[in-house]
Amino acid sequence: MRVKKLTLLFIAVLIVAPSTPMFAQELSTSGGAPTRESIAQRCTYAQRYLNETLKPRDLKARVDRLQAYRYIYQRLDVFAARLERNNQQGAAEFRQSLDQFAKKTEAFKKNYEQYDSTRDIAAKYENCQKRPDEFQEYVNATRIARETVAKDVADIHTLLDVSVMSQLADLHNILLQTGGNGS
Amino acid sequence: MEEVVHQEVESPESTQLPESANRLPIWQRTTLPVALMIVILMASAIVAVAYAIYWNSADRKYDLARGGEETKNQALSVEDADAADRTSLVDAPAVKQKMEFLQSEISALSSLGKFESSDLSDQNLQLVEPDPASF
Repeated sequence: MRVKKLTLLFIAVLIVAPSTPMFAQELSTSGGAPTRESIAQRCTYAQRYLNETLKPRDLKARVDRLQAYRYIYQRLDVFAARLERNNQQGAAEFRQSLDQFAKKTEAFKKNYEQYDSTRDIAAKYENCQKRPDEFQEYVNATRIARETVAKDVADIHTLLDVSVMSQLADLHNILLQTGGNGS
Repeated sequence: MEEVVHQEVESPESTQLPESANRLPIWQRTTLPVALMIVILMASAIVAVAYAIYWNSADRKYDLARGGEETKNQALSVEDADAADRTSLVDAPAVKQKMEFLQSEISALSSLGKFESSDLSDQNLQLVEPDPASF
């Protein structure tokens, strides 16, 4: 009998507990979209994360990627010059792809700078606790700017991995078939 | 009496440099400590100007090396045998080599940050309580 009572009491606690204010607070801020109150309470954590974790990580990715893109461009530019000098097949198309690569690299650089300053505005916004809505807008703007940078990275990857690589594969096949210079 | 007169005539000359010393060019009159001081001051001025140019540069915020961080970029260590050849005819093995180079570069690029949107999720920004399921 006593065990039964205790079991019933335990089940009752389980049912009632989530409706108490303490649990209600937790539910409102976990999983779903953050509330205005939770942003006001926690925006300083977000700013610390933007400044101390994300910024150095992004900076390293930006520098490494730009270095790599320029390194690849230089090597492929020399190769394109060889094709052009010897009037070989596919030289014009290859040069066109390289020009696109250079443009996309510049776009990546420019869009990263835009993203960097947008993120800095959110990270250094002083009134985030008093004006959580504005802080949320800055965070959303940062997200949009970051998506643009991510798209630039994906575009460059597609250009290199699909367009340039298939041009090289075609050229390779032609040279194998002609057994010579393919001009 | 004569000795006294002689001394009075010589004493003012002893406090001045000989006339021939004034006629020497400045680099022959400069002593070693003064020359060292001049060199140190000039070096300091060059360093100060260089640092001012660096500090005012818009690209300073992208400088990783100054922060003491090691910059090891795998994409820059991929070797390219024909890196400087701009003239010779391109043949099939040369294209094959270039394809391998590009494939290695693409692999190296994959290991770098991609600016994923999840990095700015509410969870990562800590705008919401951590998901209990993640513990």
